[in-house]
This record gives sequence, structure tokens and C-alpha cells, in this order.
Amino acid sequence: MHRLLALAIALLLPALPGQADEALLGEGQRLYLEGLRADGSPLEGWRPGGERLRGRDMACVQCHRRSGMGTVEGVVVVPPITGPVLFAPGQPPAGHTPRRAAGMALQDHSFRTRPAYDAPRLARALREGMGAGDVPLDPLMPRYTLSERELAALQAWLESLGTGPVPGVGSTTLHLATVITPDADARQRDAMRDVLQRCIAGRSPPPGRGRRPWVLEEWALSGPPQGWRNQLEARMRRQPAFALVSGIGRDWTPVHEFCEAEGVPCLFPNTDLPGPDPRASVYLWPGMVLEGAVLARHLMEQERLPTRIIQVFDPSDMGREGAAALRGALVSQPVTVFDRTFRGPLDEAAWRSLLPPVDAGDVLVLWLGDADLERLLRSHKAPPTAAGVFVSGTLAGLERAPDARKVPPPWRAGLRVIYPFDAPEARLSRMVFNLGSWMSTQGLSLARDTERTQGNTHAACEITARALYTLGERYSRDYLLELVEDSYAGATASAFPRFTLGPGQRYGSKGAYLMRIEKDGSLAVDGDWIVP
Amino acid sequence: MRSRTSAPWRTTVLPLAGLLVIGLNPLAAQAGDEHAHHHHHHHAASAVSRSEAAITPPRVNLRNQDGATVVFADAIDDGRPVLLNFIYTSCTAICPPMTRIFAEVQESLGDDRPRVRLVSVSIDPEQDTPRRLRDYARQFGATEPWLFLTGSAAASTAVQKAFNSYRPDKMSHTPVSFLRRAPGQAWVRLDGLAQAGDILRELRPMLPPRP
Repeated sequence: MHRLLALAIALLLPALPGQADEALLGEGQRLYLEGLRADGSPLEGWRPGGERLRGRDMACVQCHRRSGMGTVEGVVVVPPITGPVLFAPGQPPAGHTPRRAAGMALQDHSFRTRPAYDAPRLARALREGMGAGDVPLDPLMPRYTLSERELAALQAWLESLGTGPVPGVGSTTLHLATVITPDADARQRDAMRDVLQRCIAGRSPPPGRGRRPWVLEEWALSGPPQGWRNQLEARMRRQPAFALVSGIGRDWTPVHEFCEAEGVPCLFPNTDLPGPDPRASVYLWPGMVLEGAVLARHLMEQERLPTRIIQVFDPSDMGREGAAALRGALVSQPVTVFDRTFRGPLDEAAWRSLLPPVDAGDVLVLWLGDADLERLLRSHKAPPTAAGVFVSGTLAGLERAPDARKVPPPWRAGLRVIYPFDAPEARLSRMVFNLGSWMSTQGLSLARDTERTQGNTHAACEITARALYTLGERYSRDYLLELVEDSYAGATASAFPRFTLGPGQRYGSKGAYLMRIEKDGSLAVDGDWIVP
Repeated sequence: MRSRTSAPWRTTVLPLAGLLVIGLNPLAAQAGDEHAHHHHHHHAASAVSRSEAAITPPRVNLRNQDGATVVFADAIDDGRPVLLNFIYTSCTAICPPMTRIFAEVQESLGDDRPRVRLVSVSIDPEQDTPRRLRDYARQFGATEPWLFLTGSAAASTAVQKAFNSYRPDKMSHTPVSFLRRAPGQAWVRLDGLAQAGDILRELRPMLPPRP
């Protein structure tokens, strides 16, 4: 369909170059994405009734987004301007008639009723704000000062948007994949797989309804992390995937690097160690670094900072990321951060001697897995007199209420759990409410030790499904990411109390609670949700 | 036409140059934004709707762009006229122009700049940390005494609700500017993308005469 349109455009508009030269395209890209001219000077223009604008403020990407598919904010409709849309006559949405009521008529936006743009019409729209249908453009649309060359460059870039083959879009099916790394816990992996496969199958468009049904492949990796990138690239060559959905693994760094290099949307994997600076990846939460940042924020909000912070971690495990984030966040504060590292396994005497002498003004932070935490705590009959003891809820597997019972009673009063999830009981009742009946119909059930994975996997599937539905047949990975940013309301069963996204946002949950351990070993929220 | 009245909710509509076009976009419909649709017609003139309202600013804790905690009601009740809006830093189409217009207002005030308290409250407070707000303020050349405020989701919601501007989905928010001469007085509410000129026409008479 798009190809036919492109052909029709090429025939009807001989002024449009069939093959834009690379330099021109590059200049157009820079104008579109950065609002900069070929010589690096800012683009200039103005909004009707407003002041003059320059550079980034004027960049098309600000409103029309990277995909060129536009957006809707409140009552402001930013129309799509990709080549196949802009250089073809506007089309009313299929199956809709303008809504009418007494005294008012709501009609199609002019971008749906205008004739096709061509070079002169594009010039008039950009310079004078007059649309192709002789209707002035929205006052939010800037008017631009552009040379002929710049107009041609922008046109070349717009023509390139929304055209060309998109990986993973087959002739009859849309290919998705989910990645499982070999370090994933088997029970959690199975819980993820059960929910994801059934959810994708259930939400996929049925065959023969004009939309490509979704096919989900499982990319199970093997061997050490150094080899994963090659395996992922080989899978992508064999059968390209339009996007990766959910998945599970402890060390996600190689997958993250693959997704970023490939530009493939990697949506909400179950991992506590996402990679840095995501663009193509969208994560459930920032992972262990968030725990460190939340603790730093909490300590800085106290009346006085501790004298010393002693953090215990195994540098070969993910606790190092929490430790590094805490240290980094306190770097300009008058506090000494002292790292006590170890490499297991340790005997009881070694666990006992692992803690240095702790003073009353010190804070102890234990970035330990559940077995190690238990060994360290049990090696001491009584906790040291410290200003506070903090443990990572994620690492210690303390997200489930009964598990806090493994913290020996003498330690409980002064210990707080960094807890980047919704409170256990609130979370469970929300999951049962939002997910329970669907799980039953699928022959699945929520389990105490897997509900976090089950809920988060369902959230990943549901957000992706909503985005794919809105996407329709307008396949573009950038557009998918933009729609995912709008579809976060699908995360009804995630493990987090709040889950939101927005343009460019890459983490759904952004904070954590501190929890205290009650006498019966259950966890209770202690203070506000902390966003660092 | 621009009647001044202390009666809350009395509304006059000021037509402005330009067009506001309401589309039949399924997303807009999905946003459940019925309120925003009425009164508007295809190719109707873009309008700023002026009303006045009695608003009690809530006493909630928020953090400013420097990370300092402030009580919202105290921060805006410092005696100066206030100009306030709701924004979020990752917002694409509406907030940058709104913030640009506030910056233009601040610029136009010249020597009177320190005499007007500008306030932008984030409606995406978990994403908009003080650091992000500081970067955003810098990007738009905002200067003292322009406060950018964030805080807990509950605190931000409380402020939005007090100003009758709350939308469950931040993407469905609409441009609104609020002005108030002094603590205890009615707020002027400008619905629509009020330009710097519109705002200055309201704001300048609110400034007490210079000694």
C-alpha cells in the first residue's frame, strides 16, 4: 500500500527527487531532529502572535516526534508528516463519520481533508503557515525562515520517514521475540514464559482481519555473557524481530547493548540490571542503581548525615551497582563511604570478621543476596550499635512478606529494607484483582514467589499490545516506542505502586519505599515513596 | 467585553487570531476529554477563555528546582502577584510553547521582573526531579523569582485539583494560565494558549504602583 502510494507520488510530483542524495538527507535530518542548519547555526522562525524562536525550539521532532507520526496532547493534534502521509491526499479515518450534536459539529482535522503536499505547498506551509488545503495551520506550528536548499533537505528527510522495509514485518505476520539469558532462575523463567506466550497469543490480531498476526519467538541464550551478543545478532539475521518483549535475565548488559546498537525496541525485560542510557530499550525500573540513589536521598533528608557509610558487597554481583550509585550520589557530601567487599563462599568466622568495627554514628548497608545476608546476620549474635542498617530488598529476595522472617529478631528493629516495589499486601490484592481471572482462564495461577515476574510480564505484554494496536499497519520502530510511552496505563498488574512513562522516558517505576520488619516478620511501609 | 468580576466561574471568551482545530483523532477521543471539546467548532477562532475563581492553594510540601522543600501555599503567598501554570519536562507539543511564553512575559517585565512570582508546577513529578526542572528552567532562560515545583504524586495532584486542572492522564492536559494579584484574592484563569500579550494585559494592572 505504501509502496503504491510512493509510486503514485513519484509519478504525480516530478519535482520530488526519486533518490535524495545523502548530503541533502543528512541536512534534512539535522534540521528535523536538532533545528540546526548545515553550518551548525540555529534554524529561525516564529509562532503567530508569539516571539521569535530558534534552534531546538523549532525542531520538527519537538512535536512531530522522531517517527514523524505526530502526537495528541489534550486537544492539540499534531498531524503525521511522514512521506507516505504528507505527499498523499489526506484521508478521513476509515469507518468514522464526523460526530454531530445539536448546535455543534465536530469535523475532520484539516490534515485529513487536504490535498497532497508538493514542494511549493510544503514551502508555503513552512514559511507562511498556510496548509495544502488553504487552511492556516495551527498557531502552535512555527513559521520558518528556510532557504531553497533547506526546504529540499527537509522534504528529502520527510520523504524518507515511514518508507522502506522494517525488520520483523513479514508479508503476513509481525515477528516479535523474547530473550532468556542462561543466568535466569528457572522458576522465574517459566513464570515469564507462561504469561508472555499466552498474553501475546491472546492479544494478537486474528488472521484474516487485515492486520498481521503476531508471532513470538523465544531467543534462549547460552554460555557466558561474552557470547550473547553474537547469538542475538545471529537470531536477528535468521528471523528479524520488530521488537523484543519482556524476557528475563540477571545480567542484561549484553542484551541492552545489542538492542541499542540494533535500534530494536526492547520492552520491559524482567531484569534488575538494565544497561545505561537506554534509547531503544524501555525498562520496568532503573534496577539496582535506583536502590543506591533512593538510600542516598533518604540519608540526605535526615537531620544529620552519618559519619561513615559502610557498604558490604560482592563486586562480582549486582550489589556493586547499588553500592556505586550510593557512593556517587553522596560524592559531594561530608560523609565517608567505606566499601567492604568479599568473594564467597565464606565460613562463619569469615562472615563474623567481615564487618569492621561499627560506631554509633555509622550506617551499615548490606548489598547481599538472600543466603549471604542470612549468613552474615546469623554470624553476629546482636547487631552492632549503628545509626541504621539497610539491606537491598531486590538482592535479598525480601519482596515477599514471609521471607523477611529470615532476618533474625535482634536485627529487626534497626533494619530497613530498600524496597522498589508496591507493599506486599497492596500489590498482591491489586494483582489478584487485575490479573487473577485472566490467569485462571489460562490455566495459570499467581504464586507468592513468582507474582512479581508474572505481573511485570503481563504489564510488558499489555503495554506492547496496546501500542501495537494503535500502530496498526504503520510499522516504524520509532513510532512503536512513542506509542509505548503513551500506553503505560496497560501496566495494571505490575509490581510497582506507580508506573508511568512519557515522551523519551525509559523507566516505568522511579522510586522505592523503605520498609520496616514487623514482629511477625512481615514488611510494613516506613515513610513516603522516595523518588531520588 | 473583558468584564472584571469577583464571581467565580463567570466566563468570557476572547477570540484571538489563528485557528484551533479539533480533530476526530481516536486518541483524543480515547482521552475522554469531552469537556475540552464543547464550544469548539471546526476552524473556530482560537480562543482564550477568561474566568475568575476562588482557589485555596493547598499546604502541601513540594521541592523547587534547587531541591529545597517549600510549602506550596507559603511559596506563592509571598505578597507578589503570581503567574502559575502546570507543565512537565518531557511534554512535547504544549509545554515548550507555554514555558516559552512565560519566559517572554518575564523578559517583557523588565525592571518589574522581581515583582512577579512565576510558578510552574510539574504534573509528572516522579520523572521531573529538581535536577530535571533546573535543566528545563535553564533551557528556557528562566530566572528568579520563577519557581519550578515538583514533589510526591499526591502533592502534585492536590495542587492540580485545587486549581481545577487535574487530568488523570498527563497527556490529556490542556494549556491553562493562572494569575492572582495578592494572597486571598480571586485567581484569573486563562484557558487556551494565552500569549505573552494576553498575560501581560492581566498582569500589569496587578502590579502595585512603584513608590
